[in-house]
Formats: sequence, C-alpha cells, structure tokens
Amino acid sequence: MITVTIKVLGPLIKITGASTFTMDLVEGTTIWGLLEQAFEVYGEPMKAEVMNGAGTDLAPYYIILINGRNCMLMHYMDTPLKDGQVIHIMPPAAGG
Amino acid sequence: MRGGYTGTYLDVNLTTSQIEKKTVDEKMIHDFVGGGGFSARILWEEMDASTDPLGPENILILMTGPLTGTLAPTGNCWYVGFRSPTTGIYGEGRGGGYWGPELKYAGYDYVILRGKSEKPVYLNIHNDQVTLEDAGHLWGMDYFDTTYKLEETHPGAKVLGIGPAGENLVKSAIVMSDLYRAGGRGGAGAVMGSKNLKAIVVYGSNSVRVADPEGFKTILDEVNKTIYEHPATAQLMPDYGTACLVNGMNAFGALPTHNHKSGTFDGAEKISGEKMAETILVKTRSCFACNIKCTRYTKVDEGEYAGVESEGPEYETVNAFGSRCGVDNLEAIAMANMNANRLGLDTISAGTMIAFAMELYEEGILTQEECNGLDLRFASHQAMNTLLQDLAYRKGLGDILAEGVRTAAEKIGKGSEKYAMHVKGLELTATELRSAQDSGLGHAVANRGGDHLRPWSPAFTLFGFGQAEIDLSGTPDPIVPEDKARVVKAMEKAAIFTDLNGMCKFTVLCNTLSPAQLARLYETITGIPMDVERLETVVERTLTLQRSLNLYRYGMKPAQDTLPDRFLKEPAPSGPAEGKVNELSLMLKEYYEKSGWDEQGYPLTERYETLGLEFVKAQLGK
Amino acid sequence: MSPTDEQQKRSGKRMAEKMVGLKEKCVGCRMCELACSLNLENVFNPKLSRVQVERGGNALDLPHICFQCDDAPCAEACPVDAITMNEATGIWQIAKDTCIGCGVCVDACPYGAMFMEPKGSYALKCEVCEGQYCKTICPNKALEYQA
Repeated sequence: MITVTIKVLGPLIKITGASTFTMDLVEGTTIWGLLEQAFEVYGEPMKAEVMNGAGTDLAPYYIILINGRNCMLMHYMDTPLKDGQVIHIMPPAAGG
Repeated sequence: MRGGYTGTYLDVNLTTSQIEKKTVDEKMIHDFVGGGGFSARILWEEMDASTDPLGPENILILMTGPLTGTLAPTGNCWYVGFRSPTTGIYGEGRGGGYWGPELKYAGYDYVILRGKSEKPVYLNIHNDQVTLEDAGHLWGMDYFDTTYKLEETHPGAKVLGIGPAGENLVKSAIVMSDLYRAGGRGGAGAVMGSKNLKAIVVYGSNSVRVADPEGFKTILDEVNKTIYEHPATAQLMPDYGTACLVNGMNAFGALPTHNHKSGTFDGAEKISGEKMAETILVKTRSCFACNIKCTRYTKVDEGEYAGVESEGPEYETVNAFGSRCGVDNLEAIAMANMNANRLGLDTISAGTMIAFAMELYEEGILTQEECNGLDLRFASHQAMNTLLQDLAYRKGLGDILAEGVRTAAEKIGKGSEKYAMHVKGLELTATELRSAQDSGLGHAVANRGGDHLRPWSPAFTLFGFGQAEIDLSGTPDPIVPEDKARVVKAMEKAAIFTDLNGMCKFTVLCNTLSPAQLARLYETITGIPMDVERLETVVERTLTLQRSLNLYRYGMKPAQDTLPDRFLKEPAPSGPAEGKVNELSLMLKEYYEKSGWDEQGYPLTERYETLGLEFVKAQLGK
Repeated sequence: MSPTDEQQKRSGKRMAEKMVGLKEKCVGCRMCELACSLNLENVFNPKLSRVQVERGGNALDLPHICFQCDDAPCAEACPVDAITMNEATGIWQIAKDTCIGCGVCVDACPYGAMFMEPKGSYALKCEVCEGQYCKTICPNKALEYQA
C-alpha cells in the first residue's frame, strides 16, 4: 500500500469537508484510480464537480497536480502515483 | 456616426490655472485606440530626458478608453500615464470603479495635468464647467475622508484623489478612485502630490454614443454568454475573488514567500480566498458595468483588528502583506489593505518594501533601532502595520523606504541590494519567477518595470488557459524556458488591447473573450473598423512606442531587462522548481526577435515603418 | 419589510405589472442603467435610465425603480396631471410633452424611483417596457418582473 495526501481547492472543500486528507492506495494506482476511489467516498457531487458531463475526462480547466507539477506533463490521468506524494485537485482559478 | 469617444479632452495648467477644452487628434484615435496608447503618444511629444518626474514639467494624464462608460463588460477603466519618479521611465496604471465612466459622461476622453499649483487645489469637473478649487481643508486628510468630504460638497460626483502618501511624495503613492480602486504603480500619487493636486471630482450627465446599437447588442449577447459559461469568470472569480489564486499559486510553488525567498507558504490556506469567503467576506460586489463580480466587501467583527472594513484585499495585496511578509493572519492583511487605501499607497510596492525591511532585519543588516524600534521579524503583523503608516508619513525607516526599494537599498548599502525585489526600480509582484519562467520574462520586459498585470502569463502556463488561442500543443511546462516568448506575446496581445479600449483584463486573462470579440465590441461601439490583425498592430505599435520612450527619452538601457539575482542565481529552495533558477537570457533572445527588436533589444528601424511609427524614427536621427 | 410589502399592505389593492429591484442580490454594477438607456435612448447614459442604483456605505447596492404604487404620490403631486395610470396594466406613465420638468414628483416619490432628465426637461420613470433589457442584462438576477 501507498499513502498520498490530497489537497482540494475552491468549491471542492465544501464537498469533501476538508481541504486536506490522505488516501491509502494499492501500489501502481493511477490518477484515474485515485479519483474513482475518491468518488466512492465523496459521491456524485464530487464527480459532478471534477469530471465532464460524460465522466470521460476532467471538467474544463480542472487541473491535477502531483507534487506541484501538472499531470498533463506526465502521463495525464494514467500517471501512476507513488508513496508520500501530494496531489492537488484544482478548479479553474484566475485573477491578479 | 462615431461612438465611444467623446472627442474632447481637458488641458489643465496648474501653474497658470488655465483650463482649455481641446479636440482629440483623429490620427491618435486610429493609431492608438486609447488608454496607455494615448498616454505614450502624448508623453513622446512632451517629454525629454531632463524631465524631473516630480517637477512641474512632468505631466499626469488621466485617461479612459473608447469602451469606458459603455455596456461592454467591464467598460469601467481609467488609466494614468506619467514619467515615473520611482523608476525614471514610463509610468502607467489602471483603475476600475466608477470614476472613468463619469469622466466620459462629463464629456471628456482624458485630462492632461501640467505644471504645479501654488496652493493645494482640486479639479472640479461638472459637465462643461471645469474649475480649480481650494483644497487647503483637504490637505493632510486621508483618501477616504477626502472622498466623504467632497461627496458632501458635490452630491453624486465621483472622486479620484491621493492620500497623505501622495502629498508626502512617497514613491509608492498611488492614485485612488471610488474609495477602493487604485491605479498608477510607480508613484502616480506622488506626481499628483507634487502638483499640489489633491483630487479630481467629476459629475457627468451627457451620453456616450454607440455607432451600431443593434450590432453591439448582438456581440454583447455573445460575449456575455462566453463570460457566463467560462468556469473562471462564471464561478471562481465571483465566489472567491482574485484571492482564489492563493491556494492555487501555492500548489504550484509560485506564491512568493518571505521576500521571494521561496514559492511555498505554510500559512497559505489561512489567507486564501476560500478562507476569506468563510470568515470576513460580507458581500460580493462589482465595478461599473462588470458581470465578473470579483470585488470582495470585507469586515472584521472581533479581535485585534475589529472594525476593519474595506473592499478587498485582492490576491496581489494578500500576497504582498501576507506570504511575502510571512504573515498568515488574514485580518491583519485586511487592516493593511484598508490603511493602504486610506493612505493612498500601492499595496504591492508597500508590501515589497516591508518584506525587504523584514529580511534585512533578520539578516542583521538593519537593527531594531534602525527599524523604528520595531521587532521586524517575518510574520510580525503588528510591526508590518506600524511600518506601513511610517512609510506614508516618511517616519524613520519609512523615509528611506519611501524612495522605493531600489533607492532604499542604495541608501542602506551593506549588501542590501541583494534583497531588493524590483525590475527597473518598480517593486515585484505576486508570482514566483523560478516556478513560472514565462512570468520572469514578462516582468523583465514590461515597459513599466515590475508589472503585475501584463506578465500574467501564468494563467496560460500554470492554470492551463489559452490553449485554443495560442495553439499550444500539449501543456507548456512552467519551469523550463523553452517557447515562453510566444506565451508572453499572446498574453500581451489580449491584455494590452483591453488596456487601450477601457476594459478590465479579467475578461481576457483566462482566455475568456477572444481578440475577435474584443475587436467586434470596439467596432460596433466606435464605428471604426477593427479586426484581429489591426488589433495586433495597435498592440505592437503601443508596446514599441512605450519601449522607445524608455530607450530614447528616459535613458533606459536594454540591459535593464533583467531580474533580481535571487531568481537568476539562487536556486529555488522548495516546490516543483526546487534547484532551478530563472533562465531569462534564453527567453529574452526569443522575445526580442518576436517583437521585431535587434539582439540588443532596440526596435529595428524597419519595425518603426511597418508599425506606422515614422515620427519616432524621424527623431532618432537615423 | 421591503418597500413593496409595505406598499402592498397599505394599498390592499390588485397588483400592477412592475419591475422590482432586490438589494440582497444587487452587486452595484449598474449594467441595468446602461441597458435601460441603450434600449430606450440608443445611448449610454445612467442619468437617462429609468432604474438607478444607489451605492452606499455598509456595501449597500440598491436599485431604485418604480413600484407602480396604486395611490401614486408622484401623480398626486404633479401640477399638470402628466402622470397617469394605464388602467389595463396598472402602470403609471409620464406624458413627456405635458410634463413641465418641475421635479415635484421626484421629491414626492418615497422610494427615490422618479428621476429628472439631465437637462431638466421632463421626468423619467420605469414604465415596464416590452424589452425589459435591464432584467436581461443584470448579471445577478437583482431585477424581478412581477405581474
């Protein structure tokens, strides 16, 4: 088993009830796997927030970071996770 | 029929009290659109290398754009142009609120202020009646009280003005409007103070015309739909304001912390937009004609900072008085924000200044005695708030910091230059420049120095907006220098055009509205044809003219297109860019080439021809 | 109690068509003013708008717009009977040509919903136009049509 820390931002905090939590995962779990497990815990509201309507991809401009790096720069949703990593699930943000 | 522009401007000589109404030059309208384009064009005519930024020969231009005062989303902007006393180069700023539209309704596209009044005065614009009035009773008053007083005297009028910081010629003094709106980083408030001008009061009841009302309504429907369907402008900004960026930037390791030492802050969540929404947020508001609604109205009900009430703090302010000073107390930040507004200080530069002093104190370069007796460690929020007051009133250390971080470091010496976070003398802003390489480039080349607006390319590189617009195959990697000039140029195109036409950059920051939509809004309102190609030319023309002002009027050298050594030589201590520095020189070369400048950073002669800047070329003696 | 409730209770009569401004929702953008002046006058001019937003202390944003009172103080005060009710809709209308621009109605309206045309020629009020562009444009659903 591996343990990763999940940090969520914006409207997701209201759904998960906490901005930071940990999840235990089977070795080799990818971001897809992590999300599926999270949706089991936090239900449809989280899925509706994070995923597109068809549930085939992230919602527009949603970003997932692994240790501060956009998973798009790795193998996107198929990136396997490692023990001790920090995963940010981030809604679109802007400003200045 | 021409719409948008009023076609008239005011030329006010404060030395002679002469006020003239003049016609706006048609060629300038066609070539430069408005805002910072107009001010650069006017400054080019009026400035030379000897202009003292705080002397009567400097001019201060209060500007609008053609869409200011219209129903184009966020059509509320006013601009200020001047020679900056902080940097010595081109100075520019933008503010929102209500004042800009009111100036248009009074009948003016802009106001040029020149000379220096013998006594404190304010300018009173009531439609076509324009007078200079005694401001003896207002001098020394903070900006909020000045506004309340002037609103009593002139019911229904909008007030733009300065606080004590501007009167005291503090280099980070800013121009304020509508209580909470600020514009003119780099000392526009000090320039106004140097002219003994406390405020400009405007009341207007004329109309701004629209050339093609039906065409405008059609494009308006389309752009409003775009805004309401885009997740950033429809959800995140209205719900959490600009401070929605705090947690996000921290996640990327791009939240400047402890005077830019690092890009991650342990206390980020405590000062985030999410936390603000749970605690001190009273209400969501907006500027004039804005349907993005990012304004926060906040109030502190109990504790040490009870009674603090203001709009904001915005992301930049939260970063400046928060993580950059190591402060994780949101209420203390709200206090600093309110007081900066009252004092007429730029929150960004003031925060940079205090963070700089904090690091010098921790490094032993400044003693407690030299810090006005304050125990100025990072995180000491009471000391931060005290020093903010001392800055505006030039008390002790405040008097040194009042000259701007570059000059303050020269005065303090002892190696303090290393800790002075600025570009070309203008203090740095809320992006960590090793974790967002592109933003390092944007900061290094911005025409006013350490700008927080035009270099906001992290919206593309960190937050993933803009793929469609700039056709980035895959996602740009923020921590490598490759292919970043293209990203910066793309942001410039959208951001600068909104700056010229009177709209807020938040309509384009996340690639919400497209350049084609901006062009269509412009042409339906003004009746002047505009397309994306022409828009790009106007933007490049403006950038090149501002660059030329810096190089040929103000003595700037391209070698000043650089960043503090902290980013170029000190590897990032943590976060995704750990061990990396900003590789500016690689990006600069590419940027110069894309801008049509030579390898040294001087615009090429033929560039002046293609951009229709023959008048600049003619004066270069080439 | 909002002014509408108060007015309904007082009159106890049938309700006219009206546009109602909700201060809890209003963010103070004043897009309604621009929409109104664009729709009715083909220009941008908040002072020609039939809805005007008051922005005050304590984050007050309050759209002032005519409630179409049953016993309208503006009409009672008008010295030339320029303000009359359309019996079919219950909407009060101003006869621009009859109006002498004296401004008595502006002072008489208890809700601040009567305005003066900037040159002082005639008074302005919401007559619930067909387009209802103010309501369409409002970004926060702060204007509500009630019939």
